[in-house]
Amino acid sequence: MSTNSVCWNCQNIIPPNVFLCQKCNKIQPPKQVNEFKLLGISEEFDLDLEELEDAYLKLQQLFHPDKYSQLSEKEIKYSTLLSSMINEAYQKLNSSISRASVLLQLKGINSHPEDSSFNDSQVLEEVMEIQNEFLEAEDSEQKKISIQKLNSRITETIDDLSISFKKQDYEIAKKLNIKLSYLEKIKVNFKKQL
Amino acid sequence: MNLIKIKEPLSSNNSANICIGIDFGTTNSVCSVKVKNKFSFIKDESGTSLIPTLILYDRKTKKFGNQIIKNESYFNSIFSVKRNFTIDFEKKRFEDENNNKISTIEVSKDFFIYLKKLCEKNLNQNIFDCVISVPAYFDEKARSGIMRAAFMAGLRVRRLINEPTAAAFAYGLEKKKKGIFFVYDLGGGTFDVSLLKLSDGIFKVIATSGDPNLGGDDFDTLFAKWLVDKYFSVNFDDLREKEKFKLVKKCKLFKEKLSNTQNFKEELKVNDRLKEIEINIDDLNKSVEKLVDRTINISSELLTEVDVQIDKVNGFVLVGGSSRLKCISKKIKENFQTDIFDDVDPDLVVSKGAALHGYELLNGSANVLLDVTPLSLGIETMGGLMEKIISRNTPIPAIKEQTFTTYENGQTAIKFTILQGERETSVNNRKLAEFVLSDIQPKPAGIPRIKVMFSLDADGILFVTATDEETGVENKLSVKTNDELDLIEMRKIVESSIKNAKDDIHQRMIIEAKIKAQSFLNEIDSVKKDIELLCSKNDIKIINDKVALLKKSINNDDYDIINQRVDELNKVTELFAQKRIEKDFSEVVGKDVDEIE
Repeated sequence: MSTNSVCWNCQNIIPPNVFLCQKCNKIQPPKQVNEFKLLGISEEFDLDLEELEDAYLKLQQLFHPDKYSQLSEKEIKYSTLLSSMINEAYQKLNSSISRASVLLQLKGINSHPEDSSFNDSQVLEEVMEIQNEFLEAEDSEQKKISIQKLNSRITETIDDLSISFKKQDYEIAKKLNIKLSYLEKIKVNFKKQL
Repeated sequence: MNLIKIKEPLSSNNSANICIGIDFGTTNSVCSVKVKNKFSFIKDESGTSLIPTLILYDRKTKKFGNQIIKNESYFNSIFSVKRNFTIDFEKKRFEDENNNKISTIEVSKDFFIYLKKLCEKNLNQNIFDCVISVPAYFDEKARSGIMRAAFMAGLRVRRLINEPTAAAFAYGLEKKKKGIFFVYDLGGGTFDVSLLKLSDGIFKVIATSGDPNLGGDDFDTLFAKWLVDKYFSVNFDDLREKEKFKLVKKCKLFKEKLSNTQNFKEELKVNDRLKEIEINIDDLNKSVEKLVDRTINISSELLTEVDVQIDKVNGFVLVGGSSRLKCISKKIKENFQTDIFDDVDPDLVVSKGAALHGYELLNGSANVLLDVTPLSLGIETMGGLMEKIISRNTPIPAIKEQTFTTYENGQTAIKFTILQGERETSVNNRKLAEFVLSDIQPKPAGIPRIKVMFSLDADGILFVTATDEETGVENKLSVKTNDELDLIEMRKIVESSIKNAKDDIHQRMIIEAKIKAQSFLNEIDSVKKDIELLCSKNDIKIINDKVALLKKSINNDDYDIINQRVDELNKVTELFAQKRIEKDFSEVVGKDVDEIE
């Protein structure tokens, strides 16, 4: 995966994670590379979202198809592919849930946040409780309060997730990430009902 | 010996760096251009830049825009043709100046040709490149329809840009705006909202929403209903179509007049009763209140959806002629307590953004425009549900893959239905296309792995590829109706004709001939099996020979030969077409009526 390739235009050697030829400046065909490496961000759960956005925008300034509209069909195709990959990587890293999934995958842990075989009764009960509280709320004021509660629960879970990654306790991280995705899902439902 | 150097007149080479920005609006269209750091609007014969999107096919001639406004046949012209792209445009037919039935795309093509000629006259050179703005909330079919119309007019579309994005781009560049802005774009027929983040050289759309069938036209209708009811006690819906139409157009003029004054007196005729009535701003505001509220709702829903607090928004940018209504800015202020920007003419700002972007595409720039897709895209799965593959507000370009499998033992083909929209069930979403991947190895249900790839490019145009992972059998498709050419094929035809055209008309003849020929070849290809079944060996050979000849002629730019070969192929396939109709008929005869689709 991390091997060198050769520039299609000038045969110069292209190192992994590099997409412009240093000699002739031509765009290179995209290679499989993990989201953190693509954006040039260190592989950690805690990251500065502004820094992430900066890295993302800098890459799009280089590779967006608008920059290649005068060039050959091949180069337009490469830039569309690369720009799509950069978009997707940014979206994945920008959300805590998918960022955690990417990290777990890199650590060799098969994690899907919507894992249907998940049956940790403690987590499920907790989620049910929040959901019922919202449904029983009589007016919009009470509903807003229960959304606030949900929001602080989400923040707590993200903090716990961060700690478990630091401790390299990936099984716990996997569980917390599933919990987080449940919480985010009911938040979307709550917002619809407001 | 010195050769005398002669400067080439009006060649396509000296226009290589000019790209027109076209705002093809429901009510008005605007073209503009930036040449060597100088920006200007294109003016029509009457000297105005705001060109009514009107087409009149009348007594063997075509008329457009302001040529029609004072014409006695004004009411016979085609109004709001852009609306057809979102409503039923595959079926709707118009009649051209020679009484031929033509489609929405062909009417739009004629209008694009008119705009292209205006630009050429203004700039005194040939024009091929353009950036066309489209409503952000336009779906796939509408986008590809606009692109087809422009290609057929001989224009090379460098980019489709979303209207609110174009407006924000113009504001950002001209007014040096930074921060988070909300673009409220109310045009003649469409309503778009977009939330953007503007920073140094970066224009990033966070999310977009809207209603493709809500615009100034609807305001005019409501105002007409209100006045007819108030002053004539007549139910508007009971009036004849033609009278309704005229009243709506008249009320549009009243509405425009009310932007400068509180009230005025005017004569109005309904059911042959002529009355002088007082037109005032209160009546207008009350009559359209429901629609204004709807735009406010769409705006606040978008803010809730993306979790952006209103105090983080630096202001609302008003775009589109219909946003001039005073009750709109009042409602925005009441609901959002934020600054309102309308200091770049709301009618012209979209075209300006498109032209500035076009200039940068051709000449390079450090700026970058990042947009999103307005509607989710997916595939119909078992039970008529939609499986989303690309969700709305995903940044474009985007490429996503998903693996599907068979549900019956030994199944060798899968039909994919591509959908666009936000509803769970597929019948409530727009069906974009269907295609079949065949030649799958027969296996127990659930074993084959079919990889479906959705690729949405920077124009927001979708390409779908389905591949059987085991055999590598592939089926590619862009969104089109059966008799249409693939957009990639069309783009190639336009490219080659631009290179080789002697002049404008010559270029369009090549495009038309090639598109016609290629469509015909595709049609023949799709009935290949029937030809083999129904024709004699000798006839098959004759057809194949003519197909080969036509294919060969397409590579050259002699449209007379292409057209001639099309005619020849047409003649030798006549007998087959006849047999095919008979075959279809005999298959139907003898069946229960219920069995016939």
